[in-house]
Amino acid sequence: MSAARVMVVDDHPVVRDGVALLLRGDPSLVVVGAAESGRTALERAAGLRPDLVLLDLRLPDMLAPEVVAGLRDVCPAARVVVFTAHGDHHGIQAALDAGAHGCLVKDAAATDLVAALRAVLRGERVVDSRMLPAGEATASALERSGLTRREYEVLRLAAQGRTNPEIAEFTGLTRNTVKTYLQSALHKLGARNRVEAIGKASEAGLL
Amino acid sequence: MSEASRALREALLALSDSSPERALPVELAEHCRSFAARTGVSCRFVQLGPVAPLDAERTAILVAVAREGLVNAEKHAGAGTVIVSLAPEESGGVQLTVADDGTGETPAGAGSGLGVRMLADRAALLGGTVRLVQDEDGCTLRLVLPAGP
Repeated sequence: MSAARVMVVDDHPVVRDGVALLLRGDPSLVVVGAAESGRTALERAAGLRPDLVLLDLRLPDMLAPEVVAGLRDVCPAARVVVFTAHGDHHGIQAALDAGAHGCLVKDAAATDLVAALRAVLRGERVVDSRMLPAGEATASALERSGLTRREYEVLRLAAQGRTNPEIAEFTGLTRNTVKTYLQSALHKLGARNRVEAIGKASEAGLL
Repeated sequence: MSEASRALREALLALSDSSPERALPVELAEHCRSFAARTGVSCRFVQLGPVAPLDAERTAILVAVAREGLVNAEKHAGAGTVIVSLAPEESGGVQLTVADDGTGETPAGAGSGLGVRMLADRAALLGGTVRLVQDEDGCTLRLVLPAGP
């Protein structure tokens, strides 16, 4: 399989260079071009034939939804991922409504850019959980995990470093009940101990 | 690869409004990443809710406790997972935890008690506490700081 062609649209050279640097380590993705504004992006996109466009939510000359719609027009096969440093829910929703396939947060503290872009190329819609209305992401992850509210509550308190007796005091449950909830949470998460359970719950987007 | 990743992260942080409360999780996550790379032990940073802006002194002790916890976790036999968590505390303060699932046994003479005692003294000056708990589940170092002035 040949590498997917990636185009980066951002007015900051450091972001364009940084993305290129980051993707260089991955043979399945190759940066074929960049643009510093919405207008130049639309001019260059047809010639570059990108499979994926990483698009800054805030460009100096055009609004992101206009650029998304324009890109969908000039290269309908390309997937568009909005890249933003801000928790701008309206801007993101507007970009997604205009046909963007994903939205990632630029701070990259918790974002694995390569994995996220690959997922989008596989046809998945990737939206950073921090961009969803508070609670919505957790609620759906919680449903998938099969954890009950109580098990989840106990696990969250354990993640704060509280001991079982402290969790018992905080929740008003008996120590044995706390232990039972934790055991049950461990079992559902497939973890051998509480630290591993916290790690797995975090990986699943539960914490 | 991880250097490229770090360079990008730092660049992005510099571009976005890099206030200290945004920088702290990035720094803690970075400590976890380098710990995992160094030791091969899975290590994860978890933020359990928004934390109020912190002054330099509070930020420094949070990072110091995270580092101490990671150094201790590295010494503990048999740790398979380490979690560093940052969370708001009920009264408007902040708490940081480093938990590992090792046996808590340290090599003879490694004596980690001093580092924890010094951190506890520093925390006490800010009205906070540092506590190390070892039980059958592993070892947990926890810092609790009350709301700032």
